[in-house]
Amino acid sequence: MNRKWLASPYLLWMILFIVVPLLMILYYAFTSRDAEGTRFTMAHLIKSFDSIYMKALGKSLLYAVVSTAICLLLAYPLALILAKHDNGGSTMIFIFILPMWMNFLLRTYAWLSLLETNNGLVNTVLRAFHLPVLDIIGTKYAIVLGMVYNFLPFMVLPIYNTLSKIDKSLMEAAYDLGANDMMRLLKVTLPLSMPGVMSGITMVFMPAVTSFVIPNLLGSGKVNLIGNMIEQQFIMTYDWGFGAALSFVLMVIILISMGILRRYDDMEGGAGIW
Amino acid sequence: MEKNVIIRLENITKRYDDQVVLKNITLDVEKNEFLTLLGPSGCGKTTTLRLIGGFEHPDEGGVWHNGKDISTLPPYKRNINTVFQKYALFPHLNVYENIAFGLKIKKMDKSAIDEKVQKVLKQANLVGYEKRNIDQLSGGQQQRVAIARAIVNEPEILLLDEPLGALDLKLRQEMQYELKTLQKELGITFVYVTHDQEEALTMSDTVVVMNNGVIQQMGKPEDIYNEPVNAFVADFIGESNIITGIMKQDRVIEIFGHVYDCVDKGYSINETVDVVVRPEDIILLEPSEKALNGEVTSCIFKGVHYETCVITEGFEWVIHNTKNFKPGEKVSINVTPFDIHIMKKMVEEGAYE
Repeated sequence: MNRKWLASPYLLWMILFIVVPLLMILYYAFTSRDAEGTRFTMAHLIKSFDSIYMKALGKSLLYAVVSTAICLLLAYPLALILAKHDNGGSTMIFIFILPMWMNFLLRTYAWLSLLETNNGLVNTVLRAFHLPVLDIIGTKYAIVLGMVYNFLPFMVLPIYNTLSKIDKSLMEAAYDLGANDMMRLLKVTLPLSMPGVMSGITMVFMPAVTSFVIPNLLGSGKVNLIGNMIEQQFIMTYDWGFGAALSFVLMVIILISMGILRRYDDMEGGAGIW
Repeated sequence: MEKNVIIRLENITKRYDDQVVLKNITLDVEKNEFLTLLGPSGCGKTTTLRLIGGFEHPDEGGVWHNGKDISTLPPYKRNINTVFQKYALFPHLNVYENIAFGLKIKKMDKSAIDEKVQKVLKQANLVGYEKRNIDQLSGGQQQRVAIARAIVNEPEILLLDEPLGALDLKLRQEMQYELKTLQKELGITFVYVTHDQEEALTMSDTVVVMNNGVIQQMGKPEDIYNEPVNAFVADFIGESNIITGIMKQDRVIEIFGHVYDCVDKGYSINETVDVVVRPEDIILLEPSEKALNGEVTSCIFKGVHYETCVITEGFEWVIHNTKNFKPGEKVSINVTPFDIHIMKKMVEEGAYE
């Protein structure tokens, strides 16, 4: 039976929304337009390696790594608890993802007013208990907080998914062979949930490294990450060519880091965790 | 006798929510015996095994191991290992690592682990498979890894939860002998759960027949087969014709208005009883005044024997014999007195089917 044609809408979709934009980025990144017409150029790419942009890229990677690590540390225990409850888990998951139904921008704006130094809810409460006021809007802490808050569900869900699919008899087998709860977690649960951890890391790291709305709002525009730089090229300086080149560099960096991650994952899987 | 008891289950009752799955079970497992818990699904045999393993804890009563109460002890503190129904092998570890799991947990040193693992690899016929991943093994090989992973820990008791259920018939029969040999070699106690009566009879020293959370009968395989205590056991162990009869006097039973000699006594006159006759114990002869007469409805060749069905007074008898009868043929049902088993009518509560 030849049903390949059934995939054609999907193929069309891919071409229209993934392949074409990628080609356009390449096109803009490696051409320049002036009175004489359109020419091939490496100038945009070379400019991308200026220290100011490289610094922003480094900073972006650092923020993304820190946010991903915090997400992982929060999400793993949470996913463990959720997966432990057979039926209650789905209700808890539902409550947990409820905020995700709201617009990303709205949620970030909400944090802005929650953290507001003078009248924000957080500081009003702190003041009521005579605790020191948190003045973090416009700092790196606010940005990391925003990233962790917004991307945490993307870490929890894949980990929860793999955890809840682990055969319960494996847990009993570990018990049977003399492993207590801690050993069982380290020797069985953790290695078996690595695929979920890996996809969680991917799903948090990628949006975190490219984020520009969170540093704009919660960082008050004081912290310039690579996402902000790219945004500025497109909507402020109208240098689409250079913006596209920066995007291209960022994309390559993401691909390389994902490649490293996957390679590490394969090695783990092949050699075992011991 | 007392000193040989390794596991004692004492008046154990176990409930899941409101459902009682084990009703006041008392059972002694003797050292070095091969004991089989046999019964239909839902009879409580697996729950009994899990109580011994420590995966469940009794609501009432106690589990005793070598005279110590272990009712609330978690599995990892018991010197008991389990071969799980679907093997439960760790998919992220290879054969060697799976087998070494328990020893590594015990923080044994590498050379001692290696020595023990190599030994069980030989015992389980798995030499050369050390580096294989679990998903590269056949069902039979996975089975061996599961057994090796359990026995490498040198448990006092090995629990096996329907370990042969997923294997094909030929392999299952081979494994039955291997398991029995292994048990003798290791000299440890096996507690085995199955719903397959043939498996139970082949391998066990003691068979415990369970139904509805109650032990129906416990004894040597021969005794269980030859002297079932009630119609449930008779029906579950091998095929049986179970008929309602009336005890006329000692050693005389009336079936469908016809009187047969038997060897049972001690029932009251005119007591309604269950009469059990094994299909292979019935002799079909020419119709006669002295026996029940009926008509052959079918006769199917089964290899070793013919399975003949005969209808008398609306009851269909199953008979195993070596002669090919034609449907419609008139025959009489003859049984030697010794082969008629009389049993008390089962009380409805413990009724089968």
